[in-house]
This record gives sequence, C-alpha cells and structure tokens, in this order.
Amino acid sequence: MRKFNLKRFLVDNIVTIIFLSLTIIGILIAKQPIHILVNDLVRRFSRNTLLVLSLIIPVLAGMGLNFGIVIGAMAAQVAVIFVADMGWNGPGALLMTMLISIPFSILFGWLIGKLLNKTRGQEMITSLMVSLFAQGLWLLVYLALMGRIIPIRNPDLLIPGGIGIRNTVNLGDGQGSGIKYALNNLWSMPFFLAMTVLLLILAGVSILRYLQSKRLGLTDQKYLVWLGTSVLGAIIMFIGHATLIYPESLLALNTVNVPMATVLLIILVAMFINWLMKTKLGQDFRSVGQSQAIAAVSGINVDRTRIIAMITSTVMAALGHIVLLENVGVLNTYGAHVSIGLYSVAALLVGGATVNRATVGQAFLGVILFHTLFYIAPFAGAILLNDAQNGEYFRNIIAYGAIGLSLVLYAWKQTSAAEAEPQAEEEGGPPAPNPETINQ
Amino acid sequence: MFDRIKTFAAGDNLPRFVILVFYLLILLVAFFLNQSIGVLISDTLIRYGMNGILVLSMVPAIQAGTGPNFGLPIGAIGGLLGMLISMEFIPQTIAGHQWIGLLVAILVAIVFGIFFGWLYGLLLNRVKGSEMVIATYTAFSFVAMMCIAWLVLPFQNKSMKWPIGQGLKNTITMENTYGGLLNDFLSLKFVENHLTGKLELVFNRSNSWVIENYGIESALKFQFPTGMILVFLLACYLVYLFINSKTGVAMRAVGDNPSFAVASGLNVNRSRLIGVILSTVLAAVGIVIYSQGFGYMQLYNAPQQMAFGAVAAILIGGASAQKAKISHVIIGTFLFNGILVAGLPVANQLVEGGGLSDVFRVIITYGVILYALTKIGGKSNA
Repeated sequence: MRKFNLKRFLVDNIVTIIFLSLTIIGILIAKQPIHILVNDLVRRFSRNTLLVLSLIIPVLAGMGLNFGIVIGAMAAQVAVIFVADMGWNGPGALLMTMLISIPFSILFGWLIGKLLNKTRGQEMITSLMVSLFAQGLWLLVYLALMGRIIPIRNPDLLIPGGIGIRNTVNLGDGQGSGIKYALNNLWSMPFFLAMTVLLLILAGVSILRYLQSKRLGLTDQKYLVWLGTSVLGAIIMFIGHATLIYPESLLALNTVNVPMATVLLIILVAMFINWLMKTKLGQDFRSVGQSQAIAAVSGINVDRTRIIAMITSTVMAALGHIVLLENVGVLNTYGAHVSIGLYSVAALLVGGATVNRATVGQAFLGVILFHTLFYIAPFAGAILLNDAQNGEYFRNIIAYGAIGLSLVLYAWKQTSAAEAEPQAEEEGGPPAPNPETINQ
Repeated sequence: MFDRIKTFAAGDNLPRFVILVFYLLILLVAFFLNQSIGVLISDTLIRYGMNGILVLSMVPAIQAGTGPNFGLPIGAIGGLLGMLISMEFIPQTIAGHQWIGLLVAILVAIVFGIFFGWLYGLLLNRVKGSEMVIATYTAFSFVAMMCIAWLVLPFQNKSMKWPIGQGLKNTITMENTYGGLLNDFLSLKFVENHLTGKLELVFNRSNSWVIENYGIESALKFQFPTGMILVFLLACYLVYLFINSKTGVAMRAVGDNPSFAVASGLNVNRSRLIGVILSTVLAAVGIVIYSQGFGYMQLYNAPQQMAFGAVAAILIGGASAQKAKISHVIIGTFLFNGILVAGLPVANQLVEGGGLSDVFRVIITYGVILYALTKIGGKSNA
C-alpha cells in the first residue's frame, strides 16, 4: 500500500477539493431548505448521471473527454420525435424510443470515431467542433426538411406554417400519455425508504465482494467496513422512514420521491462499464489509451478499438439523453442537446476525473457535487450581487471554469513532465491505473 | 478524372475552391432572385472591414506554433474594456472628439491586449500540444467571469448602464461616439436623390446631409467603407513588417520546427509568447474596429463564439493549423463574409420563416475547422 502523502493528495484532487469547498460555501450562503435541495439533486442525479457515465470509456481509450455526446443526444432526439409523431404512449414507447435511437447512435458514433482517427492528438477540440457542426445539420434537417421532405403525421409537432418542428415538443402529461415519466412512474419511493433499499443493496454487494476476496485468499477487510457502514446507514434511513424522531426539517426529506427505476438503470449501466473494462475489449481500450504504438505492436487493431469506444459512448449518451427527456417531459427541439456535452464533461471533471483517467465513482461524485453547486449557484449569486436575475452567470463560470481548470492542470502536468525528463516519457509512459480505483 | 479530384482534395486548396464555387453559386441565385447586387457587395465590404483585423489576429498565433487562436475572446474583452473606458472618460459630442475617442479606445485596447496576451501566452507555454482545446475553454471561462465583471465594474456613464438594476447593458449603442466613423471616412456612397430620382455619388460624408435628409435606410444602395478597409490594410502591412523583422523570422522558425529552433539557440517560449501577445493585441484592436463598424458594443456572452468565425475565415483563405500568411487573411475574410452576406437573403427567400441563414454559417464555420483538424496529421502517437 502506498504511503499517504498529503501534498500529493491535494495536488491530485485539487479540482474536486475546490468544487467541494465552493459547494459548501454556496450551501451556507444560499440557505435553501434541505429537502428542496435534495429534491432537486435527486432529480438532477437521475437525469444526468447516465450522460456522465457515457464519457468514461472514451477517456479510458485515450480519446479524452467526448464532447461529441451531443451527437448521441441528437440520435436520442431523432427517436423521441419519431415516437412523439407516432403517438405511442407509456413504458413501451420509452423502450421503442431507446431501440430506435440505437441504430442512429451506432451510425453517428462510427462516423465520429472515423473522424477522430484522422485527428489523433486533437480529439477533444475535434469532438467539440463536430458537436457544433452537427448542430448545423440538426437545424437543417429539423427546421427546413421536416414536413417538407420528411413527412410528419402529427400537426402538433410542426410549426404552424407546416415546415419544421416546433421549438418545444410536449412529450406527455406524466400520467401515461407520451414518454414523460414512463420510467419514473414504474417504481418510485420516498427518500428514506429508497436510501434504505439502496444501502441494503450496497451491503449485499459488500458481502459478495468479501466472499469473493476470501475465496481468492486475500481477505480484504475493506469490504467489512463497507458492509458495516451501509447497514448502519440503512438503519438510520429506515428510522427516518418509520418514525418521527428526527427534526422536522429532516423529516421533510421523505416528501422527496426517488425514481427507483431510473436509479437502478444507472446502477446497471455503471456495473456494465466496470464489467466491460474487465473483458478483453476493455483491456484493449485501456492499452490503446496508454500507448497506441505499444497496443498496435501487441496486435490490437487500434483504429477499430477507438471506433468501438466512440460507438459505445454515443449509444450510452443516447440512452442517457432519452432518460433525461423522459424526466423533463418537454423537448426543447433546438437546444436540449446543446449544453449536454458541457455540463456532463464539467460534472465528470469535478468528480476528479482527468483527460486520461475516469471512474464510475468519480462520475457519481461529480454529478452530485456539480449539480448541487449548479442548483445553489444562482441563489448564492443573487445574494452576493443583490440581484435575483444575474445569479445565472455563476452557472456558466462553474461549468466552463471546471473544464478550463482541469484541462490546464492536466496539460501543465504533462508539459512539465515532458520538459523535465524528455526521455522518461518514452520509457515509462503514464503510470498503470490502479485496478481498485476503477472497480469501485 | 476521379484521380485528379482526389489529388486536388489532398491539397490545401479544396476548402477555398469549394467555398468559391459556392459563393459564385449564391451570387448567381441572388441575381435571379432580384437581390440588389450593389447592396450585397457593399454589405460584404463592410463586414470585410469589420472582421479583417480579427482574422488577421490568427496569423501571429499560427506562425508562432500555438495553432489558430481560439482564445480570441480574451483579446476581444481587452478591446471591449478599451472602448468602455474611452466612452466613460472622453466626451465625444463634438465632431472632432470622436477621433480622440476612437484613438483612446484603440490605445487602451492595446494595453489590455498586451497584459491579457502576456498572461495567456504564459499559460499556453505550459500546455504545449493541447493549445486549441485549452484556449477554447480558457476563453469561455474568461467570458463567463467577465459577465460578472460587467455587472460590478464601477462605470458611471448613463448611456452604458441599465436604467434600472445594476451593471452595463448587453448592447451599447455607439451612435453618439465613434460608431461608423471609419466606415464613413473617405467613403464612397451612391445615394438616390428622391427629388430628381437620380443617383448621386457622395464622398467622405462631407455631403452627409444629403443622406440624412432622405433617410439612410432608403437611400443607401452602395457604399465603399474606405476608412475601415484602409485601417485593415494598414494593420496587414504592420503585421507583414513584423513577421519579416528579425523577431518575426525567429518566431516563424519556432513555429515551423520547435526542436530545430532550440538547436539554433532560439528561445521557443519567448517567441511563442510574442506571437500570442501580438495575436491578442490584434484581437483587441479588431473588436474596436468591428464594433465601430457594427455601431454597437456587445458585452456578456457575445464574444464567446467570436473565435470560430475568425478561425474559419483564415482557413477558408488557405491557411492550415500550422501555416498562415497574410494573403490567406485577405482572401479568406472576403470569401467567408461574402457567403454569409449573400447567403442570408438568398436562404431567407428560398425557405420562408428564416432560421436557415444561421445554418449556412454554422455548417461552413465548423465544417472548415473540422477539415483543417483532419489535416494536422493522423499519425499514431507513441
């Protein structure tokens, strides 16, 4: 086990530490009631986490932060608009939306992957530019061709002139029509009960992990700590659900509804990523991410692996965007996808990920920190500026600042390492990621 | 035949060629749609003068090896500060004072440009290899931070502030300062005399009462914004002198081949710093010229996307991410703005409801940038 080095810990996690401090300061300034904050956070977590998770695989495959998930979101919207045009309703419609989005996102992901293979070393700026470029094509198709060349049956979707999709498309009333809340309505729970269930699931996983490590002969005490903590947490949460002994401000938390179906979907996707990274394909992603030359020498088809990474990311982003739209209930036809890349990338980086390192745990932490801050920022800003309107500007600072800061710190480290020891880079390459951190 | 097209596509000429053909096509369509060619050309010239220096600011950055300057908004903010300070402190109600106002704005913009460019250049020297994406997000973050600054900076001039609430306005009109000053300087205008029904040629605004009497909107048929074009050409000449000076040659050598430059004893970081500072200063001056041509200053999120158009313009002119010449600026700015100006009415007339003109801009801008990115070289990096 590595010795704990405080300076190193601070330097390695500086972005997370800064944003954690900002979040705490923001919460103290804004003074929002806790159940309203948690309610908003639960909603934002269930909406955005899948999109953030979709960024992980390209990072591990050495392609940086994939701003191109915006195009995955477009694939989702292609399907959402098609299903809205068909007038399908309920969970079946949601499933159909997901199925229809998959071929589009595979196609788009393949195209982006092809492009990124031509712009090696500049993947991030390329994925950003391609997302902006795609916005032009999106406007062209949905503003000029829909209703003119591509037939639309449902006149409610069209701009009154009959050409182009409306600015906002209603996705249902949340009680069975359309896809709005199709997933939320499947299974929701009050906050304390939901937490109890989730912590018990975590306890179960800890037991399995512990038994697994025992079978391998390296009894890991860590899982026992996990087990104890999660069982204790579950008991505390269940007391909150079943009794009234907590203060009233905390009891109000039980008015928060947790969409369990969405949360379970998120957990499944997170487990899928961890499973995928253990397969041959996942190891290929990682080898390509560490050194394309060495990966090529060891017989990995580098270009193909990178394309597969992009396709996986794009498909996951499309599914994530569908879950987001299902929860929002209204499609902002020309704007819903635009900021997806920005906010998802910022959230992942706030969680402590870098250009070449990202874990599921960082994604979860990042979504919670970033979106708490994102919710709090306008309130805190309004108090700081004495003006309710302008608090919004703080959100932009947070999102762009998070990305700018992480990218600069990462590149700074790379450049100073390269200038200090020019030959070390060729010999050692980046340090091998610690498997424990990735499997959390 | 196919092979010949393929050879041509491999060269750097393809985007320039495609855009030129497209431009001629649009002009042809505009002609058949009875658009006024005079208005199209004079609008193109005005936008050419407005954007020229912003596009020119790409040249030193590319030549110093930091790639197209996606951090242009940083310089633009320096220019906005220069204009605000000029407006705050220089009363410009008397005719001649507008020149002082413009000059002060440019000088203050240069000071801010040097300061911001120096900091930004130090940053770029520490992030070699990922300049483009970092420049983009540094600029975005800076624009976001300045949104707060525009709210709290202690400017007092009533015409710049919101009548109620706090902070500077989103768009600040410059009609009472030096807005349009360079456009009109030595300009040539064809003006329709409503009494006689004949066109009159007006030179250097000395007869500007003719225009005011009949209303600018209906009278303007064609304008050659001489002053603005002259300023652009002057800036081009100054940059030309610089890049052929000793410092400039050293800077280009560093941009061409950093390791060779180190071997010949050149200071790579210093040259890159000079290139970035010059680029930022040009961006700052560029936004002053842009705003006086436009007639409005735009604050808050307006500068955010400004870099992309300028990058696209120089790329259309034949530059790449590593090579750029002043001729690329001169050609590229004309083609890019020509298409935007001519495309707008054509697109609106072809598809009712509008909205499509922006599509042209978006697809051309980012398409061209993407094309240039693929030319950086797809070799596998070890």
